[in-house]
Amino acid sequence: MNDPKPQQQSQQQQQQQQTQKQQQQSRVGVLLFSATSISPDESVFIRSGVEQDVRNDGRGRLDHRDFDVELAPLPQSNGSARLRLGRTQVLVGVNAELEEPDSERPGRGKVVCVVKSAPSLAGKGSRKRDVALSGALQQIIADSDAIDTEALCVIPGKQCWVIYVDVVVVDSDGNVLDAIVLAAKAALGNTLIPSLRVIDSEEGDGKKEIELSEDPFDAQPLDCSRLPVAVSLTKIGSCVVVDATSQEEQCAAACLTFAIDADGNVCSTSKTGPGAVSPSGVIEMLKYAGQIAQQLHKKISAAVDSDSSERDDRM
Amino acid sequence: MEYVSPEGLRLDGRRANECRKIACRLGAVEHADGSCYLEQGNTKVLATVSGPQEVEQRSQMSHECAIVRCEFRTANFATSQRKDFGSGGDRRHKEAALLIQQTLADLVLVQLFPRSQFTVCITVLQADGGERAVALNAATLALIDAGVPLKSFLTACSAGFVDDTAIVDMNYVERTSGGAEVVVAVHPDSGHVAYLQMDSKLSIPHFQGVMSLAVRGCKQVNKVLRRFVKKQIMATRSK
Repeated sequence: MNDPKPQQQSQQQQQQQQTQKQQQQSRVGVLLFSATSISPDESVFIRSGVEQDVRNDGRGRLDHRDFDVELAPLPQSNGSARLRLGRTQVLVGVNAELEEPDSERPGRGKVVCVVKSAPSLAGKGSRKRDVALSGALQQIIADSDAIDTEALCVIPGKQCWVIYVDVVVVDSDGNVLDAIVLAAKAALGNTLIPSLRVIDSEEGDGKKEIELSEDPFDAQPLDCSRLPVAVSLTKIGSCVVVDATSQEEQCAAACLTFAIDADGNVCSTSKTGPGAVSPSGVIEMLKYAGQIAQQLHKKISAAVDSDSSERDDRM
Repeated sequence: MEYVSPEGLRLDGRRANECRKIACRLGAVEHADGSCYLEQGNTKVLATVSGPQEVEQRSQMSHECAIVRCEFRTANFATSQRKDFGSGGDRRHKEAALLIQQTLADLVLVQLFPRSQFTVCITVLQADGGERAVALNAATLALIDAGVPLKSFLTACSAGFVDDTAIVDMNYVERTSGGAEVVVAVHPDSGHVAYLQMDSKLSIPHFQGVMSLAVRGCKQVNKVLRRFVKKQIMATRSK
């Protein structure tokens, strides 16, 4: 073709490629809660801000929002916590029920995590989202063996404690998974399991019976020292951002979540989103995650410990 | 088991005509146009309102007035024994949602918003008796928080008949005693009944006694809720 036309064509091609890239980068995956999507211009604004270490709410790239946690808002459950991380609000209730153990693991109890979004957040894709969050929480809390399931066994093969961790996502402004894991850790730290005794059955046929303590205050806390916290790092453009808001999540290419326990060990990792991260990028993200996880652990343990000492004083 | 002692005291120390302690917070959820977190005794309910907004299902749109859509859910940890109600809720939830929707469709001045929709979502966070009444109250408060024009400050209350005594605002233990429960919602100024539901059997004179006790309970609750709303409005105005 003639000389001016190839230039025009390449410009058009470049524009097309740019919009395609933007579209790809705006689909981070199933964990998004946004009801309204952002425009390409807002996306460019957020991305350039992040490159200059200034996010829309004034935070730096590695600044985590302040969270505040309220323990035992639901006294009817064995343990509960309400956590607010910016505008994201989650409510966790922990209930311990006596049930039959799995046939493959007769000497262990179970931990079951279920996440549901409040009906006001329901919409297209909310069921998929709830299932994804339930699976992620189950992986971080239950599959990582952070809670001693052998201690939950009551009568091997017959009865065990099943710890149900039910989460309701009341409001969402990004980073819902981290908020859920923090709230679950607080709720489990606040949980009291009723004491019971296993005695021989009165009929003398060798069967065992369970006797629950009559005193409602006779209960044991769970050992939650090995429970991790989750830190999600979102890649926006070529930079990494911690604790993304829902607007930032919409411009993200990929998101890595690390679950890190109080000793700094990585309990589980997961990556969502279509974008790719280089191996050195992953190591860098992990370093940031480690630092932030330490701060989160300190804050959440302080809240749980102060509440349990208040509770002991009351009793 | 004795639910009402000979001196007239119930299990939690209340008298037959005393309602439970109420706490409420408007604007509990930021993404909704209006929301309310309401506690009556140990029953805790969260209600959110969105609207007026575009009608989701074009076939249901009305050219004369707005439609009200209501969702009613109970959290898995709400009941004393943990129960997973599934994503759609069971039949009782759908029935409760339908009745609340009909009540609210009459309460809201829907003629002012043709071709639009109000979505009211109610979640019971802890169930200790009287959930439907508390849900209606929470929905009304959420509508007030959203600034939606209403006919009046509708309030609901439940009452029942246990141990030959009519008692108001029953908790879970009293509710499962086997006696009847009547849930009533009245417009406070006119005294008109907007919602009435009873399950179980009651003779007519007993029913009249329980119903009038419930209506008096509604007026009590209305007074308390009005005070809360005024306080919160004053607080936001002074900011």
